[in-house]
Amino acid sequence: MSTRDVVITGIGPVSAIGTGRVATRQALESATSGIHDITLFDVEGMPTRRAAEIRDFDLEQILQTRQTYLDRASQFALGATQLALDDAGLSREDVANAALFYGSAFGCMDTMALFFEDLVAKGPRLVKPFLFPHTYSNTPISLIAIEFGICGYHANYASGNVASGCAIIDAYDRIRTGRCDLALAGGVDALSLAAYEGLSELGELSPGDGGDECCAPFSAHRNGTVLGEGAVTLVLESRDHARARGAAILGEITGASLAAGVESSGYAATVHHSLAAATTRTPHAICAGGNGSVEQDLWLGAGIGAFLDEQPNPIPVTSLVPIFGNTGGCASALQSAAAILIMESGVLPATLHADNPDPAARVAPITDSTRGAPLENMLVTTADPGGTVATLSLCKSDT
Amino acid sequence: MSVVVTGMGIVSPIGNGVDAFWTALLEGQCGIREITRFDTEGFPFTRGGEISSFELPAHIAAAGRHANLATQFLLTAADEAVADAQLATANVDLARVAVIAASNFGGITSAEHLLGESSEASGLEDFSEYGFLRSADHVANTWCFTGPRSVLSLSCSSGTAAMGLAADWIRAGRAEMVLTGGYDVLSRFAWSGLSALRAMSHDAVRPFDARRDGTIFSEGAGVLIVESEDHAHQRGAPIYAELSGYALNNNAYHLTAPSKDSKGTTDVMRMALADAGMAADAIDHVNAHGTATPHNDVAESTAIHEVFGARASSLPVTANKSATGHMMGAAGSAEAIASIMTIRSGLIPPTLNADQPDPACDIDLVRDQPREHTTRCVLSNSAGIGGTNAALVLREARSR
Repeated sequence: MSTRDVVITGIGPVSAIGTGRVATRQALESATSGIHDITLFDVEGMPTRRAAEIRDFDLEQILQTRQTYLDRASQFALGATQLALDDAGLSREDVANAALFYGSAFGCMDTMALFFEDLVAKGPRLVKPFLFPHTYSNTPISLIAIEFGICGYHANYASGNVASGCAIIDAYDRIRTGRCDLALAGGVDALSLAAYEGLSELGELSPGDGGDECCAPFSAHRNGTVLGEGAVTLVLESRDHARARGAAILGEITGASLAAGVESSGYAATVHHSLAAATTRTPHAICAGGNGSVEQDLWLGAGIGAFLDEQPNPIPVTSLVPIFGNTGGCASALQSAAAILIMESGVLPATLHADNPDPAARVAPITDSTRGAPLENMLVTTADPGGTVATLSLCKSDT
Repeated sequence: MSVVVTGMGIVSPIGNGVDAFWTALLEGQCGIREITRFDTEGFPFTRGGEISSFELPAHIAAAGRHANLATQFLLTAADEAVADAQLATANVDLARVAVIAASNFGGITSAEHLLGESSEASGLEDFSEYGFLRSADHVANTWCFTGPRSVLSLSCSSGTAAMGLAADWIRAGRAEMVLTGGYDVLSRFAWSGLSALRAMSHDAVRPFDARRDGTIFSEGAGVLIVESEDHAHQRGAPIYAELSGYALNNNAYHLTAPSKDSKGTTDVMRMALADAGMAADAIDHVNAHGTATPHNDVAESTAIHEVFGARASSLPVTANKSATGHMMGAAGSAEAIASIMTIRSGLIPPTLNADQPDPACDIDLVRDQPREHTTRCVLSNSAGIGGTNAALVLREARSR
């Protein structure tokens, strides 16, 4: 089967470090963290007080929508999509038949809780009907379709922390095999009290050991992850389609792998396999989804370490989670967008708080940002705690 | 590359196991009953397709005991499908067996205690079981499938969409086999929301009937094993049917209100046929989405006429939801299984409760009794909240 090149022509990022491509690139260049004290909900008495919360996001500054209610996740998703279309120079007419792929780990938990509160407090007959359609996993993607008039192929992924990775990989496949020319792909996850409490209950959030609260990927002192939120929409198209309309090509997806392991075998080999399978060109850097999780960073790092052992030359590894927070299902898309911006700027951001690497994690991420080194190919890998790993191979625009 | 179905399994309100499910469909049994699993005091609707008798198979009970009920439904249906496809005995590379699950609400009962509902079953494990991907993890861990895995959530188009994606993965070389399945469980959260949408009936599910006034939601899981035809022949697996094509789209109109035309439904059916490389006149039977809401059934009838033209009034249609209730994420999977059984048996099960045809729904609805009808190709429709649409084309297995 002959396949086609898949290029990225638009990036619409919304995260705690900024809204839009320019702001995001600037924050990455200065390795500025978006993790601050949580203001979105009351964390009094809780061990975890910080997250990469998006502040001052105003959807009306990006687009005017007729929707009278939007879950936080839906707002981010709509904003990211408008930004992506603007970035790609696409009108709503241009995307009427585009394929749409989106993913989220938690969907609209904020609105789920809002709806359910009434059930508990007031009973079944006094719930607010208008809220319920805004509680679905596929609410954000449906609202994207409605807002922008996108009637084409439509797939929503609830695949945990690799959700947007699954979305991008299937979009990539659909374009490269010639089944569509143009796709929007990405993901979203928003902070919610319910998800925060749930993960805190499970001991997943820093400080899981009662120590200092910090997101320290692959570090010996790591004690849990720190949540973040965000949305990213990428515009993907075949190279021919992009050239035909004179689009600026920002980068290219050159390989992709979705791999999964089982508990009985551990997941390090899964990570190793995913990296190898996605690699089509020797990467100049690896953007690893190390998120400070005590257990996950161990096998993620071991898998990356095994991959690095096979490489002829050292490859720098960094994690952007201390900058973006752990953005759940949005992580793959956000890190992919970041990788394109990193290759554009030539600055590989340091992994914050990673100055004490855990030898067992087998990865010593860079602790100083690098400038001037070749950065034309990168691997972006994210993982779900249940052992699914999504890896994308991205390269810099050649124009 | 031809992609085929080689195993099936189901847990449903009308029976667990494909044989029981199919027999019940042919006999016109209905799975709607008073809900007993949670307190329906104060709810406007108290009858649903609750699975009254369910137990994890003994040999996977240990693997599934920490899973929530929704995942247990999926595991049980998967167990039947895995055995049916002879996966345990076949020479199959488990690293090339993928899992694609699909659900509206996933493990919602594992999150209700965090959403404000006090729960007797609340425990530290609960939230870890809420994640939709967790259900696919459980399936993979139970049978050591180490191919890729993913979970789709497209409201009531989920099950159909998962089958289509499975075919795509096989054609793209991402897997040799895919276990694909839709699943959902009735929960207070979902029941309260679905009740509030005023899409439900107090009476019965009467698809395309003049008295129809809504659907009735239910639960369950349907699983199908999908692989390339060549792979099936190589390992000597019996083939049920060919998964010839599919399509997904969105009405791009409103989260709940149907679009004023039937364009989304018409387009998705046409695109599925195009994907299958078939003309409309190749279809012998339509397994309808048929939710019995006033709007859906008219829209779907209109779409059937748009696609099939003059044949529409004589093309047999059935609506399984009249028997099973609306199984949400599992609906598309259950209806694919029913469609395949129709292909293999030449029998179309009747649509229940529909003896007063609505003139606005001018279709040939199979009623009262199963109809003998040589069926080589079936088109199965699904649609969901958010304006999602899905259509699947299934064809009889080719003889070699």
